[in-house]
Amino acid sequence: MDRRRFLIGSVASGVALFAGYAVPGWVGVGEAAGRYAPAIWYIVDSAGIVTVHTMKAEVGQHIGTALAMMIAEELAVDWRNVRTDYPDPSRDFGILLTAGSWSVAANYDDMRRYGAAGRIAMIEAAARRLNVAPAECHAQQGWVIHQATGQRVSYGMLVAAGAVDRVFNDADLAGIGLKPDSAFGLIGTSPEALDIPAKVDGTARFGIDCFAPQMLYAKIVRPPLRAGGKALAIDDAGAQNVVGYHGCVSVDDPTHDNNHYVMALATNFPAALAAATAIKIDWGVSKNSAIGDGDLIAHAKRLAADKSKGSPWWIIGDAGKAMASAAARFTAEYTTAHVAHAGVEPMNAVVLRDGEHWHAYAESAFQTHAVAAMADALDTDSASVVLHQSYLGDPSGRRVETDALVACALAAKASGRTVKLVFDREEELRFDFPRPLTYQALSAGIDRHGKITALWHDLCSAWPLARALPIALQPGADPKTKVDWSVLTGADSWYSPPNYYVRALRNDLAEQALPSGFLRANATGFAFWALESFIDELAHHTGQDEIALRLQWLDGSGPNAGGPPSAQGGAKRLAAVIARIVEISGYAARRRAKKHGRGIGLAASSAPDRRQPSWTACVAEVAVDAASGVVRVEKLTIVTDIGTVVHRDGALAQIESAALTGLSVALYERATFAHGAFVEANFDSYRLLRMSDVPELEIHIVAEGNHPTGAGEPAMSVVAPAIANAIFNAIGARVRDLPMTPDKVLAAIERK
Amino acid sequence: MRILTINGFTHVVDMPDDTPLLWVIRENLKMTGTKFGCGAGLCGACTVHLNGVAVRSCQTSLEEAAGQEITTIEGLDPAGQHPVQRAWIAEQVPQCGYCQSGQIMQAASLLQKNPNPSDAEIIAAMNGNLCRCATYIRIKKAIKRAAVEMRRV
Repeated sequence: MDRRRFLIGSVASGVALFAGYAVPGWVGVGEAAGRYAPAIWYIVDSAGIVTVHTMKAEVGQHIGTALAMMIAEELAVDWRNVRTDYPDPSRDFGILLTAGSWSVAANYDDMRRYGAAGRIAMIEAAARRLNVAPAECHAQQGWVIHQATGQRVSYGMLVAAGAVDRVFNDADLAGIGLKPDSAFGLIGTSPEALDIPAKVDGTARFGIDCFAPQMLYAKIVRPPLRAGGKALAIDDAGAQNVVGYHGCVSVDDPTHDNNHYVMALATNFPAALAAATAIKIDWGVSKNSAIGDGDLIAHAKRLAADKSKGSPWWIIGDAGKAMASAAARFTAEYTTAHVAHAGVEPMNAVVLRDGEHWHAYAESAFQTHAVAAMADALDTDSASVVLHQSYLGDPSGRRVETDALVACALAAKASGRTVKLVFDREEELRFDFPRPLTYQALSAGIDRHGKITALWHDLCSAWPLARALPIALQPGADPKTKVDWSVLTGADSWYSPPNYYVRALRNDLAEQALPSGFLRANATGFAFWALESFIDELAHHTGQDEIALRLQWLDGSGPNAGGPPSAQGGAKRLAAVIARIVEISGYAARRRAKKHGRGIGLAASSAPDRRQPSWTACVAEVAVDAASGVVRVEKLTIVTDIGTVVHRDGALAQIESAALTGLSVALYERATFAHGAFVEANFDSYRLLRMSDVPELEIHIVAEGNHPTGAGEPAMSVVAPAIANAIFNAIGARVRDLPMTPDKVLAAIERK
Repeated sequence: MRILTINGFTHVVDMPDDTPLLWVIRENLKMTGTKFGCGAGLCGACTVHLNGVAVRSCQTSLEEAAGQEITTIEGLDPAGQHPVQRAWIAEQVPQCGYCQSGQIMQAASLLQKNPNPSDAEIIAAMNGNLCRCATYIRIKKAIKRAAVEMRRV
């Protein structure tokens, strides 16, 4: 059945050609002239300018540029005539989510096909005009050329003449032959990113830069504890003295992310801040007021000790049996602190009502979810909600959450006014949905000959998906139970020990005490930290070479053989990456060199997930001051196999960013949870990486024609374990708690 | 009533004297290139020039700014072609871009005082400007590139 039709046609006025799927409720060609049609992937105007509509959120990964390059490559246009924009996803034409470094890989084939379809339509239209056969024509740089006669027609002329009209069904699209990699002219190059000029002259618009006439500013009055509560009594007498104060609203949070909101409204932001500070609220008492990080870890240990708890996430062979019959076992426990998003742009939103429609101006990396949550909060339908997108001022994943948008919508509805809501830094850090705290225990079974027979990995964490989007929980290795893959990906590594079991444990106490969330490289950030630290420890414990042990287990057997499209080649590609980085870094010789507090360590990962693994390894070189416990990272080397690279400099920038963000999380970042609340309230106590912390960084991208995979997360997942392994190499002490701050290093030296 | 001179233009502002300059620039005058990040002078996103010197506009009151020459990212160069801005494009520095106005204003102020900064001097000047995308390596390269260009002029 031909329900989905990919349309390429000139609009009635003859000013633009569009290409995109028809969607339910979207009638046809002529109608697109005067109105917004979100299914359109790109338009070509009568001057030959191509504007690619980016449906992915632009968080600085230059995704608009990469997607436009895919289209332009096959559309055969001059890159100088390509633009990109970020239209408002006001209709449901698929799930709009930007996460997991998936964007390039997931769209690589489709975008090229949409471009190729446009080229075919142009060639056919030109051939009709020239009265020649399409097969005698080809397209390049925005022109259709008839080979025999040299006659040329530009895309712009064809659009102006309204000459293009073509429908492709799915089979037509699938049947389009795409260029071989060897014929690429644009893919694999480094044109300047299209979003950068506006980010240099101050004209780039972020959510916080939105204004509406007559709007009020809202400031949330926060409860003392993270899990909130309900305001039992509100006294705003003090706020009445603030010039510009417009009263407060008190509303339940229908999403249950925050339970309840009290918001001070005022005519300007400083007044809203002052009013919020002056409002006194009785938040009652909560059993969470006694809970801190130590309680969450202790609870996780209790859960892990109970063999009846948890669900399997990954299974090879029978690890339970192999562990039971092992001659010896080796076990290590690892913990990671909560990590805040800490984007420099605080959360914000503007919501206004225009007749039947609610307009929201708010950054979202998950527009589909944002529209649904807002409609739900306003007790209306999704069709009545229009979400206007802008650049996102935070690359860390915070903007998949809908809290600011929902609170702002509730304030607008309750007050009957247009409202702009802006978080301050304290609530940004103390009322975040952080990367969850984790407790992980890894064990190996070892036989009488010293051979490792089993690997067991317990991973205990809050399950943020159970809060944010329970429908997305999925079965792991057991079809009968659902687990939160967002805190487990990576723990299903590509290693093939003889027996392997990964157990997912849900920290229900942590879920009661605070809402956790999703950070860039969420699970791979902590799962590989534990796994790759353990492999290093295990090799040392059993007297094996840590590289040889990894390569032995990266044999590509069974489930680790891989397969198309993105995991082609499987585990052996990770083995190749490890071999390459060992050679490049001179790892073996330097591992054995005299120390003087200096060390070198290696780690590998396959983030973001098994469907789209980016085969990545890191070698860290550190200097450790044993007296102070201060770790100085002197150099990071990254080798990463991300398949075909679309936008080379953009990929490089993502790898730089991921590696350095990984360093920040490895050494500095900790959101301390104590007495039911987060402690750090600004950047003086919540420590982010600064320029002075930046080491030498050497990056090698392996690109051998495989299907592309993501570049924005993998490097973040290898830096921490490489540093932990380097610290051990330097001083013989093992740090098993993240972040690896000086106190942890000193404690590890003490334990030695 | 206070009179502010921003990028050569005069604005009359009717806000309390202790209002942070940041909010006057952004919310009253709608010049949004200057960003709010922390409200405490700890991130650098709100950096502007006061008489040519980088200051945190979230820590500068309307009263202190009145009568001074204020420059924001919009006024650094009339065409957005200051050598620092050109270097930022050449080195493809911004990612999410939110902190970059502040980074650029801080860097321009540094180069005005010190046309040939060492690595250590660059770090000393820039260490208070945070970037969640961690674009620090490119920022440093761009400052060196801009320094070369500015010395040539």
